Amino acid sequence: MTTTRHGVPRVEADAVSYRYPDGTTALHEVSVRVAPGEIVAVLGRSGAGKSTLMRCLAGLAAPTSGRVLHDGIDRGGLRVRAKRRAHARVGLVFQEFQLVERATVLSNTLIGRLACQPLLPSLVHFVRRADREIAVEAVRRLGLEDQLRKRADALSGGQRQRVAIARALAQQPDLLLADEPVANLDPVLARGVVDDIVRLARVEGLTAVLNLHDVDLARDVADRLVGLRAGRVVFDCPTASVTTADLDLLYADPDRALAGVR
Amino acid sequence: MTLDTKPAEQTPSTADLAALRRPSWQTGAGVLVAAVLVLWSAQATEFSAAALLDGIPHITDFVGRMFPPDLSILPTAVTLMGETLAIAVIGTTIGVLLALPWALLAARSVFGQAWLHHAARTSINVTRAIPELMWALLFVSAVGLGPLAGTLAIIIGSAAGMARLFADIFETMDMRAWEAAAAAGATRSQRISWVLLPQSVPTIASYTLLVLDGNVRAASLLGIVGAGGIGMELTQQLRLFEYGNVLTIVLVVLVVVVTLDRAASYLRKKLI
Repeated sequence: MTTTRHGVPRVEADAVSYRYPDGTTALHEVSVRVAPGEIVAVLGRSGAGKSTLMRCLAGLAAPTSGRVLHDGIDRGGLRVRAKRRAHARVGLVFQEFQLVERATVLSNTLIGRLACQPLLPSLVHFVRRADREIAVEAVRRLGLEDQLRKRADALSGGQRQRVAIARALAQQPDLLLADEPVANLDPVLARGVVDDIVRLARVEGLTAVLNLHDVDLARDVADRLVGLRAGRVVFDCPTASVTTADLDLLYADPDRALAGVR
Repeated sequence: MTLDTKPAEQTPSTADLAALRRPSWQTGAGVLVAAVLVLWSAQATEFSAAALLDGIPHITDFVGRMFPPDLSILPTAVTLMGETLAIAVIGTTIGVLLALPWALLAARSVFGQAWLHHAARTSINVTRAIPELMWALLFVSAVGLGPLAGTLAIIIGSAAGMARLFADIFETMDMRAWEAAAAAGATRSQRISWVLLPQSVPTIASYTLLVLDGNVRAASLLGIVGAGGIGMELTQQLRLFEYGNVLTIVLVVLVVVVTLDRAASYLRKKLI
């Protein structure tokens, strides 16, 4: 779709199609390239294939056809250990936080460091000092240092999602993927959390892909917008050049022949 | 999503939908079978109102001879109840340690391989099918009379029971954090230690207390087959027709079991 100026993209979907076992096709030959350091928002209605694309980019789902390349490498061909290391380089933030509710903020964040721990000590929850410091630093960056020893289920929704972001940052990833990270939060909290993700991604020089529902929010934070509709890329261009007509195309309701943004 | 437009004549009327349903013939057949089974069982066990009435004098006579309880046996009873508790505590502790890995193998959500959790489930079900008293009999033959046989029986019996419970706990658990940890590159064993166990420990502890409670009752009976504990003394005193002693022993068991039951249910409320 777009050409990257920086050579090898950080992450690339190359003609990715995805068909569910029941025969529904979620993605039709989707090609998206994200350059290092770029922040991309994926827009589209529910069911447009945003989450499936995210799962493919994250390596949680294998495309039915096409390839996903991370720094030019197809993770599908990797062996178990190398695959785990490749996974650790991708930080994930999910819609439903996916925290261990009964564990502390620190313990949840340390899960992001497990991939590089010696196995046996880590099984009895012994984590090297340097790694604990990385985790604490990630928690601090999200402003949760006072909650470090609190249980995740004692926190508010916005704080929980920040713990999930801290867990992703603790992995020291080079790619951050966020699948509807704020769909469970109210608009004000949502903006704060997305701002945090983008700010930290910029500070760390991370590449980030976010699935977002809120068009205005996406326009404010992303370098580039990708529009998905019924599993196909409708537009893929710098934020400034996305027009209202493009967005209408995305959210137009074919059933009622009524064009309007949501 | 899409509204199916159906022809009007297929839409049942309100009166049709509100009509009382007649029980199906399957329900009727089921009730009949159950009734026949109960009547046959009553006959087989010679259970009847007449037999019960005939038995009342014997029962009152027996209860009468139990009073007053003979307290001279109290020290022995307390010591043996201590042994019974010890059998239950050790049996439950080692049982839990065996049950956890067993349950992990049996949980579909933890290990994807079908052959593995089928094998683990089958071994659990086979072990569970043998009652604890039968295990006790087997162990008495194997290691001789005494509390060791009882402890082994409790270990095996409760490990299988708990493995089944824990496997179900693991399978019904919210796996979202598990998935996130996998995506972060954590190995399966790391995920067990950092996600699965922290999430399930309160439930596991709660069930373990329940099992401990049951094990104390079971351990009180094991003595009947010579596997240690207070049951041995109980059968002895019954054979000697020392009904005063029997009552004392029963009272000691009652006090301990009720206390433990109260304590366990208090702790369980705290845990969940």
